[in-house]
Order: sequence, then structure tokens, then C-alpha cells
Amino acid sequence: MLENVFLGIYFILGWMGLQVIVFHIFKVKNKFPIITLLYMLSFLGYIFFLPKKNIADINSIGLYLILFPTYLAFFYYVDRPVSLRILIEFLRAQGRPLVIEDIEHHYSLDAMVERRIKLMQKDRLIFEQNGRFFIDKKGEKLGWIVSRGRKFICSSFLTK
Amino acid sequence: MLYGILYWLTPAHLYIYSPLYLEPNTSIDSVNGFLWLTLLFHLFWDGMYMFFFAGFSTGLLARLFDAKEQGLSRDELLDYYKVQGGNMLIRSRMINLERGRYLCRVNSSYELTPKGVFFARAALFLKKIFYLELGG
Repeated sequence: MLENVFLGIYFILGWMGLQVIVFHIFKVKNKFPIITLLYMLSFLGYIFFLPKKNIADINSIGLYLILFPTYLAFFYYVDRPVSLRILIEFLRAQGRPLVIEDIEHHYSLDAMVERRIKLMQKDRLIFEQNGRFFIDKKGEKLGWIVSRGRKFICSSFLTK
Repeated sequence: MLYGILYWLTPAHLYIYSPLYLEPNTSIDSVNGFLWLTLLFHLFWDGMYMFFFAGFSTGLLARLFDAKEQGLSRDELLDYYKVQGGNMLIRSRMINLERGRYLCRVNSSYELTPKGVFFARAALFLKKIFYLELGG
């Protein structure tokens, strides 16, 4: 069992290292396809090199699979959070105290919404027609889950 | 803690596994189970926060879903997040950051605490590693 785990760690580290190298060499903007492709290759490699074909493999493969969404969550928690961006704006001010308006000036609401709109358009979750945005077929299911879920757990008061 | 109690109370085979499927080393077995528990717990709350509690993109998607065939213009989307001429998202996050002691208030302005400096530097470092822009 431990052999499987260590082999998994090597493959995961290899996958993470390789994607970072690819990002920097090719200056990749759309990173998700690269992350996914390299993960799938590493997963196939991991299955191929698993030392014993026994019941412990199911556990190892399960762990390997669950690491993918966990890693994605980590990646997007580095990329997207508004709170982290606010902290970075303070760091860029080099110790100078900032008021809320300073943050809003450097990190405008327009830019925040525009970035999300572009990303959702690129992912074909929404589309634009005559200056208005509509949910696309691909986005409908996700939109339904999110909208109903938010209403169900009454979380709209937490954040808009 | 609940995992530890249940692990201690329940038999290794959980009344469903045959001995063939059991890990002979109980230390490895318990660490493995704890790893599964941690990853699933982490994923569950990641999903809950991203989809239902704090996700900004998913919030926009929910509004567009609720708008149905009428859709929403850019200005209508922006209006959801405007409060007294300011940005509601930033204001609510600033309150949370102050509450979490990442920022401290000095009169009407804010400063980073050592905890805030650590997280800001870690975020910048990781963004460089992942070749990301400032983001947010």
C-alpha cells in the first residue's frame, strides 16, 4: 500500500512541477486545459506503473482522483479571491495606510465584473446579445444548482 | 475527533469487508482513513463556499439564471454590487479581513497586520509560481 502512495506522490509532484514549467515556458493564459491534460497523462502513467495489481490499488487510485479537485480548489483560491487581492493591494502600498476608496480605485468593480464575464463567456456559460448577457445552455444546469442552492440555504445575505 | 472515536469503537471490517480487503497495518489504515476524511471534508467546504456562500462568479451566474430570457446588461450586473457609490464586495471583504485580523483599522484607514503581510506575500509568491496575474 505504501509503495502505491509514494508512487502517487512522485507522480503528483511531477504533474505539478511540469505544469508550472509549461506555464512559464509557453506563457499560458488559459491554464485549465493544461492542468487537466497533464493530470490525465500523469494518471495514466500512475495506473501503468502501479507495482501490484491488488485491492489496495482501488484506494490509491481513489486518492489520486480526489487530489485533482482538491488541487483545482487550491489553484483557484490563489487565482480568484477578492480578499487576497485586497491584501496584495495593501502590500503594494508598502506600509502606507489605505482607505477603502484607495482599494476601490486600484481594484475597480468594473474590472472585477468584466473579468468574470469574460471567463464565463470563454467557458460558454453565458453569452452576450445586443449588450445583454444571457445564460447559455451549458450554464443552465450550473446556474440552476447555484441559484436554488443559494436560496435553499438562505446565503444571499452573506454575499451578493 | 469523531473519526478517532468511531475508528476506535468500530471493528476494522465494519461488518461489510472480508479480511482480504483489510490493510494489515492498523497505523497505515488509520492514517489512510484520516487522509480520506480530510480531503473529503476540505472538498465539501470548498464546494459549499465556492457555489453557495462566497463565490463571486457563481453569484453572477445565479443572477443571470434568475433573469431568464430577459438577461442582464453590464450596468444591471454592476448595480447589484454597488452600495452608496462604493463596491459592496470590497467593503464586505474588508470587514471580514479586519475581523480575521489580517487588517487593522487606524482612524479611517487600514493597515496590514503581520498575519496579513504573511498571507499577501504567500499569495504573491504562489501567483508567480503559477504564472498568474494579480487576479481577484
